[in-house]
Amino acid sequence: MALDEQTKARLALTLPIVLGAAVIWLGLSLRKGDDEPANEPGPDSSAVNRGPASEANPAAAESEPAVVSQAPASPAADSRASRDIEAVTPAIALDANGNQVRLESIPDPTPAPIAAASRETLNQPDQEPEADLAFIQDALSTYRTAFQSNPFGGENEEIVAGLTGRNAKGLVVIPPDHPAINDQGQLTDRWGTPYHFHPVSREEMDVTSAGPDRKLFTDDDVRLDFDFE
Amino acid sequence: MRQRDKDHLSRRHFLRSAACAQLGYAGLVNALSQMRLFTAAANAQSNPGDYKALVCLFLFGGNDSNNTLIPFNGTHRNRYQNARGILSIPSSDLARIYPDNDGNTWGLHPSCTGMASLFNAGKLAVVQNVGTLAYPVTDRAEYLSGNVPLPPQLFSHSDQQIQWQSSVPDKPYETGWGGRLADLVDAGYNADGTVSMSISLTGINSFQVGREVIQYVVDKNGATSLWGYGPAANRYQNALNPDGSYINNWAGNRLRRYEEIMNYSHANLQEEAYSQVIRRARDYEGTVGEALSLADASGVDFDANFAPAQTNLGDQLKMIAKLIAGREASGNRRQVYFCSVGGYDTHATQLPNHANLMDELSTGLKSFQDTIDALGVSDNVLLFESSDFTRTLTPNGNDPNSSGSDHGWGGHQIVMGGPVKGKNLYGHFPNLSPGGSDDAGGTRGRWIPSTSVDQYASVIDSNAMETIFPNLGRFDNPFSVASANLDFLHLG
Repeated sequence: MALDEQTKARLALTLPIVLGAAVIWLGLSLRKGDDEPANEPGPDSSAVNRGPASEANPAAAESEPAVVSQAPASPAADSRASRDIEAVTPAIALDANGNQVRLESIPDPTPAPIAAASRETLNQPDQEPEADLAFIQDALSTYRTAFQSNPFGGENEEIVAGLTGRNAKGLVVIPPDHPAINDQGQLTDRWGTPYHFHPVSREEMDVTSAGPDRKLFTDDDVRLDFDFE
Repeated sequence: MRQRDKDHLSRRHFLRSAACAQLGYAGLVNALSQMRLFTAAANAQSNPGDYKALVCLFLFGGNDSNNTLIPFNGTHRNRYQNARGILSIPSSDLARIYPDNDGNTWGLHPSCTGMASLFNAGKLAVVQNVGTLAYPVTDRAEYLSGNVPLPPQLFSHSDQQIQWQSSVPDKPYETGWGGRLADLVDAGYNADGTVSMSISLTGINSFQVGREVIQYVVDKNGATSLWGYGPAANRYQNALNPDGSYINNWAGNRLRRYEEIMNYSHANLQEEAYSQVIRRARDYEGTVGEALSLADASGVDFDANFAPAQTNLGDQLKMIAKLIAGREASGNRRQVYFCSVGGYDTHATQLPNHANLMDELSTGLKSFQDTIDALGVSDNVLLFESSDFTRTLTPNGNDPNSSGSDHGWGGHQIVMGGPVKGKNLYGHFPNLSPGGSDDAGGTRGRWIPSTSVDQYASVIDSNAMETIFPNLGRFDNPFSVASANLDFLHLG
């Protein structure tokens, strides 16, 4: 669906804000990882083919993954979404070079300019639904500018966790208390249905709204098709 | 068909034929080089057992292997049915398989009757819950802990495809493991070969990228010919005589001049590389044409064998079977083929779409194996399957007419052929409990792999494993650790 003129104008205003986010980054301090013992395998994992018993966690010994060592999480960072996400997404984050590091704690939140804009942009009734999708793509682009790839995960709540500050810099692209985020930490469309995120590559993420019928993969779904005319 | 193949006999074929006739005369130009070709062919003939072809079948999009290998009853079945919901397939519909090494009862997707018959006949096996891993991940708790580095972009299509095909998920992509295999093996086995060891049926791929061996792309009809020298049925009809000499007309002279120009040496590297590509393609084209002629003369009716599999995949596998039938033309004793189909990203309308995909897969594999058997080279050809990832066990909606599943992680893979210790299940079946010990976070049923791509692939290719699979040492050695349950090949 092509963007109308009003939407294009809003996006044009948003762009400088998005780019401004790139200059608001926290520095990273990395230290070597701890050799933590592996967790006990589950009842159905006792015989699986996951490495020699003598090397229960060879990753810790061999690669010594870097760990994000930052100040303890602030109350703001300890949001509803970040509490719930502990059971959903691993404590893994990417540094500015796209390298994987262990996320020991969530750094103090650093809101990107686009985070404030999200309150005026996302799911606003005076805009077309496509503008919501365009904003989400801008948010993802801001994240990629900082981390060289999309947020970790394939599920809505995983990706939203990254966008709301669960990352190595505490970069907040969408505020964790944004009204479009539901109790499960999922970003919802204007009809209240969680968006469907489709990771195509580290730099490309399709996003779909289920549309007014609130059912995905039906004719009224809303997707963003870029019109280059 | 014969007309097209005759066209493919090409100049190289005729030059070889001419050289054969001239061998009785001393001092003939190029005799030595021609002898090398004949020696290679003779070796292939005298040692028919010393030929091995590896066929990589990649299912792009992420095959829902949760509905490829399906529990028939018992605990696994209960978990499957509870979590799969609208995407579950009734036990009564399954194509039953009876593995020798597993006490549980199993079935394949109802469309996979051909694969089930191959399984039960001992020609096919399934390796369970294989996926990309940077390091072993014991279970969900360890996955969530962040203590173990995970493959980057775990649920993204292109990243997972490349990681599957490179087997090195935690480093920037450089080469595929098929390409590294070819680099190591080609000189030793294919010194006199006249075509690349790496042949792709579906364009350039990551799997066969190496540093030395350059992949060669054909399609379901064979080699790609130059255009403008004849109709589709006979691409050089207007330019070449039946004996391979140039016709003295506009088309013939144009082809002659073009080939002369391509034989020039160039100081400019790009110009030289371009000419090399053209020359190589023309040489390979001749070899492929000759191989197809040999296939036609093999006595095996390829069209009849593949009648149930007139699909994109069936057409690719038929061409591979023909090239294997005509292997003496190439002189290669080791060959790696790559074929692939897409459409497996079944987020929507999964039940009917996946049924069609499974039908294409099953009929293609059955026709291919039957043809390979008919050619008498069953013990020489190994096919293995892989895909981006499997899919979430739980559906992404409540409507069976529109819903599907999303991106998962570890999945079940098919291995087929005489080298396979068939009628068995290998690896370890996951605990199909969303949120359970094998679920990678959340409650969608995304299985943490119990076997890494490195382990799976290293059994398929046991040559110089440390070089081809640099991360293999991080995992259980599939050859010495019995609990790995990866003894799925007759090695030797």
